[in-house]
Amino acid sequence: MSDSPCDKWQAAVDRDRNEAMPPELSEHIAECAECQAMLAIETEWETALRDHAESLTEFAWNADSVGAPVVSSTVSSPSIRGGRWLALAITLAATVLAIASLNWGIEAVPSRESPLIAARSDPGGVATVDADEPEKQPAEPAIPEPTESETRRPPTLVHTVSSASHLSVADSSRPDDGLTFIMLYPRSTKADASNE
Amino acid sequence: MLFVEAQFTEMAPRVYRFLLRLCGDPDRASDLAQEALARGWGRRQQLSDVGALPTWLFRIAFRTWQDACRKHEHDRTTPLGTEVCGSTPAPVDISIGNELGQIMWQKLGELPERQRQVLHLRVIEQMEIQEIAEVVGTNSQNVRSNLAAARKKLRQSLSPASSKKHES
Repeated sequence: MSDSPCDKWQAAVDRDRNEAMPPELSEHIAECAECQAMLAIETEWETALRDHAESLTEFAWNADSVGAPVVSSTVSSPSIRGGRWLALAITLAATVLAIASLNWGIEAVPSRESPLIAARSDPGGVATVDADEPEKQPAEPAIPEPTESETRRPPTLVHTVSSASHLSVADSSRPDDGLTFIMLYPRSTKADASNE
Repeated sequence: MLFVEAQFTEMAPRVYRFLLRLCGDPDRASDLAQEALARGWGRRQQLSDVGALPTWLFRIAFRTWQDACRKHEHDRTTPLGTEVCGSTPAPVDISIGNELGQIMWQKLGELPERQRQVLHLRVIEQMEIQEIAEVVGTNSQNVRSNLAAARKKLRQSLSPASSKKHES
């Protein structure tokens, strides 16, 4: 591999595959033994180097090992975020519904028991409660027994009491009737006391 | 898609071989090849012409190696002795292969960096001049001049060895 005085062979070495060799160069190489020898040496070591490099290659690559995370990170991330938002929306909606149902339940008590309110605001009911100590009323005030004065009440009041009694009898199977009565009774007592 | 995947699988050893030539360390070359192929696989939609895949992947591999070199320059956490971007790569395992091929591989590693790159792509990967220019980011004339210089240095460095071999 010594330098050759004739270096025209180098133009042939670095020629691209699709690059045609000039006619004068091909004619020269065909006649020049020195260029032919150099080209043979070049071809020999290039082939040896290529074979050796290919024998060094111990590397395998699998697209699945790279592709799978890429696909999962780009495709499933929005769905994961969407799922989280959906779960949050469902939780929020469930909370709102729970609060709304609670409010409706509170409002249903006085509206359902409005005849009782009317019954307990009558003068007969007030007569059984000590107006001076409305706050000292126990949680379970005694249900006033009908007195003779109640029997002498105006017809409308009698009608109300009878309606309340009717409701009490009709709803006696419901366990919350007593509780409803307890909640509403002090309010009517206060109202009556202020009126007095 | 399967065709592109097959092309990637076929190109993987060539990319590794090129990076091994660049950095000289088999383990480091394996890591860089994985990174380069992962980059290419992630950007495969940008490749309009599948026929240009080899040049495209070699260019990604070359830039991956350049990025590793820059990171190595800024981050000095790499232990001493593990050369990543040295001008003279660490000797690789040459116990396999033919004797002339081993010698040539060794001598190729002793060439200057740019000459080593272009001669590897030209001789081992058998790439065109323009393709090599695209991979290493230069022009065709620069590739030709580096190829000529690399061949001349190889002839000069191999002359004593070949003469000793003939003498023995």
